[in-house]
Amino acid sequence: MEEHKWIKDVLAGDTHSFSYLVGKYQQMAFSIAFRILGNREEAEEAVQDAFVKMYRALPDFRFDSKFSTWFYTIVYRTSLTAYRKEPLFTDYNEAASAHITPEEAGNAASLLESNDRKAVISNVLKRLPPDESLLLTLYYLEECSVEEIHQITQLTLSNIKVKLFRARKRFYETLKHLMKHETYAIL
Amino acid sequence: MNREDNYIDQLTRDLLQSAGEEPSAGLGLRIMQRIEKEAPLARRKVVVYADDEWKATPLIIAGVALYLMLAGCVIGCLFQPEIVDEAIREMKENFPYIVTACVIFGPLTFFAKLDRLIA
Repeated sequence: MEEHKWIKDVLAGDTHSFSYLVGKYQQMAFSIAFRILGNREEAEEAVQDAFVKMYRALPDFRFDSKFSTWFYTIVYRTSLTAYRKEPLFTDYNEAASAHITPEEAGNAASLLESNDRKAVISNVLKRLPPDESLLLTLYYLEECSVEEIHQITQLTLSNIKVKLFRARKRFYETLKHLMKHETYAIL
Repeated sequence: MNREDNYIDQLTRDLLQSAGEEPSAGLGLRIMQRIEKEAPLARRKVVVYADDEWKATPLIIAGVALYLMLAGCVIGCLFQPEIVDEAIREMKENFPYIVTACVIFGPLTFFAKLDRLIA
């Protein structure tokens, strides 16, 4: 893989190669930090710290593991340290209420067609609890597997699945709610 | 995952694909400035060892050969003791060389393995 070559170059003393890693991972790292912290300045600060930590820990990186998962774990932990509030993940007991039908999801999504999709989705994600917003970002945007999310967050696999279902349901509920309000505001 | 779940999953993926947060334009530069202030990473000595792990097939062949030799020795001792005596007498002449080789290669192999284990 190309990134393994960059890492080896950085380990050999070529700091310039690190800029390739920065270029490739800064956006996703920022998305993760922003989902947790909810503030651009703090998120950028956390991303900078995470990259410095990653640079220092690079000699310990094992090339048989996935670099992105290893790095996102650092970003996640750095952001949690900066978060310093109540625990990010809260316990959910019931999974049944997380059910959503394709019709509900489709209806909510269809409301988006005449609007600025990116801005609306960002707004919806900002309104979700940080843990749910983070899981949706990792799973649907970065396309991490449940196993990779487990490595990053240390949540159990079943817990991740339940939280993902719940987050998805809340995402569509919030989207529908937001779009209705916007429509009323225009009228 | 059933068809309904797949549909919702794909729909969510499509919606979220456009929702990546963009950091400010100068973030990459600021990261690199901080990295350049860091001490250079200690260069690691890269040691490449030949793949000398014992695979199953040579191990089985070596095992079979060892058992054949042992069986040969036992049969020789039981049925042709005079030939065995002759063989031992001949080996006696080469005994110093055999001991020397064992003294050199035995510890060499042991410490080489130990070195890799510690590294």
